[in-house]
Amino acid sequence: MEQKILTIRMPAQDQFSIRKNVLRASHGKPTARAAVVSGIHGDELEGLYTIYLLNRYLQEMREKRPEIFRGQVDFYPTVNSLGLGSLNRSWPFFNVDLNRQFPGNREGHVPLQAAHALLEDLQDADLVVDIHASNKFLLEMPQIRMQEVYAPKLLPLAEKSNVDFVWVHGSSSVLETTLATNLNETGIPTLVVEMGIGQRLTPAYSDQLLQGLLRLLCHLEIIDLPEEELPVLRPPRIIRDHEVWYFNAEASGLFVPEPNVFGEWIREGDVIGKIVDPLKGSDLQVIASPRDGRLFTLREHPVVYEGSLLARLVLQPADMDEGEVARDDA
Amino acid sequence: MHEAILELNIPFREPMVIYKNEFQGSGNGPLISLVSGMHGDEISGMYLLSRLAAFLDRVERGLEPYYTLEGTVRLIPVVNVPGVNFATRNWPFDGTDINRMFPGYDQGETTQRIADGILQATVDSHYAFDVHGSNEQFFEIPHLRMFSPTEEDLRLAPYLRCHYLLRRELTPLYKTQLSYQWKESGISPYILMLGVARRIDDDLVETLYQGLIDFMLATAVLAGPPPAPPLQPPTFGRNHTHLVLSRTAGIFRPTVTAGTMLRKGELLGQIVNVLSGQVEEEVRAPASGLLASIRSYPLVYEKELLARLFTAEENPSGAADVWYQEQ
Ligand SMILES: [Zn+2]
Repeated sequence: MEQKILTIRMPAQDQFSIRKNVLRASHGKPTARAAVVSGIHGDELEGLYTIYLLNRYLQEMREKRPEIFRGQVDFYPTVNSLGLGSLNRSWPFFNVDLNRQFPGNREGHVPLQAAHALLEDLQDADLVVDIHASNKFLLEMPQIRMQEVYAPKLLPLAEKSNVDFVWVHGSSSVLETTLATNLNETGIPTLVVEMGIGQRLTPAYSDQLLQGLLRLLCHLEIIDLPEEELPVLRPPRIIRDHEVWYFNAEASGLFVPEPNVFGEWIREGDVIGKIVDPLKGSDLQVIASPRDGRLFTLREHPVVYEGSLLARLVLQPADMDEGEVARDDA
Repeated sequence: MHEAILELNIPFREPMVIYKNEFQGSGNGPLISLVSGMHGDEISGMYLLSRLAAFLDRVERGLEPYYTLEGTVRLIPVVNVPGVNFATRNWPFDGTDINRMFPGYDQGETTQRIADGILQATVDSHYAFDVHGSNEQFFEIPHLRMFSPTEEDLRLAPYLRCHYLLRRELTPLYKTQLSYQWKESGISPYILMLGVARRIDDDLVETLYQGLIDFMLATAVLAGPPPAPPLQPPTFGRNHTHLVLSRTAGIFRPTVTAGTMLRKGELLGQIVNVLSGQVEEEVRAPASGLLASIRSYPLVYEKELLARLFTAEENPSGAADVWYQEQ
């Protein structure tokens, strides 16, 4: 059932709405309510395709096997529809980042109203998944990011999400004005997925996340898939801030990564790419890895400034036990 | 003394340098830092700092016989160097607002490095000014903004000769701004809102120029003839604020100018339907008070801020007061 959570008139005599689609069990009171959100940033499309896949899957399930679909799932795939339609990460005209407008304001300017309407509409959800796609510069392996304070509640959920990594951030980096912080702060568990890259689709990642979302819906008893139909998941690697190695450019120029380094295990000394000067025909920096680890972030946009993020490596755990300890003290 | 505080290599061309121009006096007075040009299109502040540089240069060379420099004045007129060159508010490459990147990080992305460089270059100040302008869409009369000002701040503020002082609470909303980080570091930030982006208001710059010289005299950065005792400007906070919102979308035509005192119910302007030409809304003052700002870009959505009005009496329904990209 399609609904509008906010409609705004615009100066040129037109209007736009923030739209959602509600899938609810055909019979009985829904067991629980999950919401999947994407498109808060207008240049991030990976979540739109993921929502399409889940939406289609659930609609087919509800039709053919209604007894299995017992809860409610709300889709908000295109929150910043104006940005999505105009290649704008920000909210057009007002030029603000919608994910820095929460909790918003009913009487505020349009992006504040949008934030307020979305937050209000998610108030009684049992789980929210907010799918982001990095930006147009960086390609990311599927990961969930969370603040340490919410980890006790969120980690068990994130482990069912079929992402490759769960990155638990220290408390110093809390941004109070995001959707996720506002929801988690009021006790509504909200997972933030980062995967793929801005302005593009990485369909394999959407397929991967779909499996995790189904698992989460089973966990919430929104769908009741028999054990043998449950997707088999890869457990994510839980990473802490100190386990991430950042490669920042030391020169300004054109970044050319080595082929086939993304997603791979890198050994100390391996070259992951170089920064070149086309005018001189020389290499400004050859980037060799100082550590062993897996390259889970890679820059796709080749123009770099000194300091631009080129890649991120998740370090190899010293031994497997350390990883286990890290999970326990969450 | 011109000195680079940050040098960054820029792809495919010459390095970019952020300079400070520092005037060191006898060493007996406090350090005052002034920053402008964080937003590349806010030019009045840059011009104000260049006027001060010329004045301090004359003081140093003994050409201003009544003044001597006791403390240190550190001027950083241009932070967003390419933004100034390209006339854009934000960092041109990735569109980031430098004043949303604080406290910054010296090993991070370019704008994080810039933020870190600016904070490190000013964090030892006794007084710190961040000079901005209002944007072209929403005209604000010049004023001073402070976070939870102290008694001492309130004593010094009048020397600046601003129309009013807007006091704000230090909420997380401002966390990524330079002035917030100053406040967190124990420095009282003075945020000057100077006219409209993309142009220079000479009278305004002249007033602030005199105001800053008085401020430096009052803080013993500068020695010289005592400044005339100034009038305390009206001070407004969230609960003196009245916001005027559009109730419809269309073309807004104001009928009053910012800076005037309005009576409750007085006409502020009209919103016209673009298709029919009919007046869809007559916009009126919600209370009697100072019209501090008014929408100048004519096209409006519904529920947009058209004007901000301050009253002497408290407004129990005082709402959030940040509405667009500011400071
Ligand atoms: Zn500014």
